[in-house]
Order: sequence, then C-alpha cells, then structure tokens
Amino acid sequence: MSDETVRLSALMALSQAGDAKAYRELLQLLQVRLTAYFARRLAADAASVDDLVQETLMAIHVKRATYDPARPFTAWLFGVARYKLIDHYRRFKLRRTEPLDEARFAEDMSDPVAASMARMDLDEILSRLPPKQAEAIRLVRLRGLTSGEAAHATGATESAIKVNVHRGLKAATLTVTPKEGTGHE
Amino acid sequence: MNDMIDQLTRDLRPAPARNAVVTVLGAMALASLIPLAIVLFVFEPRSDMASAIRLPHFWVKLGVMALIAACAAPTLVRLSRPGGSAGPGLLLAGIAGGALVLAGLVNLALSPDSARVDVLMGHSWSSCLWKVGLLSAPLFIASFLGLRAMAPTQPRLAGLAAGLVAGGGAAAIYSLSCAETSLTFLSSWYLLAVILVALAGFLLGPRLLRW
Repeated sequence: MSDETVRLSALMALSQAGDAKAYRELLQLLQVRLTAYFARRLAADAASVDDLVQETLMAIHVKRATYDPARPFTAWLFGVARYKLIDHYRRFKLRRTEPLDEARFAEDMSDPVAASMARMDLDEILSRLPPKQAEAIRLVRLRGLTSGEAAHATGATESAIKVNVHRGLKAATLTVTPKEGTGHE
Repeated sequence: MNDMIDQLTRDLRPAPARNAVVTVLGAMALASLIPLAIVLFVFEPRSDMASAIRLPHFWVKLGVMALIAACAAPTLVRLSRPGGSAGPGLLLAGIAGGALVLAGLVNLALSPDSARVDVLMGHSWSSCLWKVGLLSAPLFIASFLGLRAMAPTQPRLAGLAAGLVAGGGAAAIYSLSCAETSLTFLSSWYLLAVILVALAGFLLGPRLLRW
C-alpha cells in the first residue's frame, strides 16, 4: 500500500467511527483526487466532472459503512467512482473519451450483441430513407468513399451524392426521436 | 462543493463497517427458515427418509446443489462491496454444474433403452421446477435486500451470484422432499431450476441493485 492509501484508509476508518475532523480532511482530499479521475475520463464533457465528483462524494457518504478497514481504501474508492462513471455513461450514452483500465467495462461496451443491435438500428433507419439517399450514406459515411468515388460507383454526379448524404442524414435525424435515458437495457 | 463537504461533515454519524458475510449470507441463512418450513410442513420430507439417507443419491442431490451455492457464496460477498473482484466462484460453480451434466449424460447412456425416459423425466420434473423456484424466492429476496444494504458495483454479476446461491440453496432444501433417484434427473431439472433462478438474478440485478 502506498503512503497515501494508508493515510486515506486511516482517515476513512476514523470517519466510520464518527470523527468529523478526519472526515472533512478525507472529503477534501477525495475531492481533488476524484476531480482528477473524472477529468481524465471525461475530456469531452468537462461540465459533468463537478456533478460526478459531488455524486460520488454523496455515494461515499451514504455507503461509508460498506468500506472494510482491513482492505485498502483506494480500491473501494475507485470502485465507487467507476460505478458512478459507468452510470453516467449509461445515462448520457456518451462515447468513452479514454479507454478505462478495467477490462470488465470494456467487455460491456464491446458486447457483440450490443454492437449487432446498433447495426440493426442503423439498417432500420436507412431503410426508411429514399433509396438514393440511403445508398449515398452507405457509400460515403459507412464505407468511407469520397463523394467522387461514390459518384463513380453509382453513376450519379458528385454534387447529387453530396446533396443526398446531407438530406438523408437530416431526414434520418428527424425520424429518430431521442428516447429517455434508459440505456440499452 | 465546499458547501457540500460542510453538509456531509455535519451529517456524519458513526457508521461502523458493515460485515458483508453477515449482511448478505446471514440474511439468506435467516430466510432459509422459510423454505425449510415449507419443505417440512407443506411439501413434507420424502416418506422413505430413514432408508434414503443410507443411499448415495440422497447425498449427491443435496451435496451437489449445496456445492453450487457454496461456490457462488464467496463471489456474492466479494461483489457486495466496491472494489471487490468476482474471484473464481462463478467459474467453480460452472465447473460443478458442467461435471453434473456430464455425469447425467453418462448415466443416461448407460441406462437400458426402456428406462431412458424415466431416468430423464422421473415422476416429478414439473414440480421440481416450480417448487425449487418457489423455495428460492425468500432466499433471493434476502440476498437482494442484503446486497442493497451493501454497495454492489457490478449488479449483473452480483445478481447472478445471488441467484446461484439462492437457487442452489433452494434446490438443496427441496431435495429433502424429492424422491427422485436418477443422476440424469438431477443434472437436468434441478440444474435447470438453479440456472433459471441465476438468470433472474442476472436480469434483475441492474434494475434492483442501483444506488
């Protein structure tokens, strides 16, 4: 155990015993560590960092009895922080900005079932568009062709491809109504 | 943010470390009085109990189901706390289940053709399913209440482990009233009942264990 882990573990044990001074010191130290932890993982969503720090401090408060003083506090702490982070990702369906250190979470996200469901959603959305627009989106946005290559492949003009991609994406956005944050479950 | 730290500090009351074994497994042990009472007074123990306890099939049924629950129990405890890893418990429970399936298949293959249907279906496969399901309910509820009092951060796995302990425990208790003797019956219907309870835990975990 690092010195800091030993120190945090000791402060947490004192806090469990009801020592308010130790608790205040602990929360202040945790605020700094948690801010760094979430900021690293939410680079594209800095506005959520403070919310997550607060939520995590609150969770630590409510669940403080579940820390076992015989174990390193940091494992418990980052278990809580990771849980709140994953909860946040689920609620806001954000893309991860940095790979998490936990293979477990990666397994969740790279779940082949979820991936194939996303694929089915996409096919469903495209099938509702006019065929030319769907074709243009498939070629340019999904297969990564340039507009010129797509024009060549379909026999349409390059500007027709661009217009079809644009109109198709716009129409697709309108047909997909956002669902309340229930995640993919 | 500092307001919040002030507030939390003011709200601090002593909160002694909660023992996960007592909170989760203790709750389940207490709850197991309900399925035990149901088996003793409603379903009633098998009528040939006195002679059955001298035969291996009685102990195999009781033992393998208890073993599955015992394998998953440490995992359930570990997953009840943040930072706990699942450990080998689920794998061990899976190996126990797999070995049972293998033994059941061998037993089926060794049975004479005319006896195979009996060996597989027994006389009570449907009541095995619903009775184990019913008996597992108090254990299942106790495990989820225990988990909610703790702080599971992997709700699916925690739910799965809870279901394995509840299902295995309920199946072990049910075996006291079940007169089936076939290993193949044990490996199919008992195991299916346990798997269904475990699946329920896996599916309900994310819904019921949020905090």
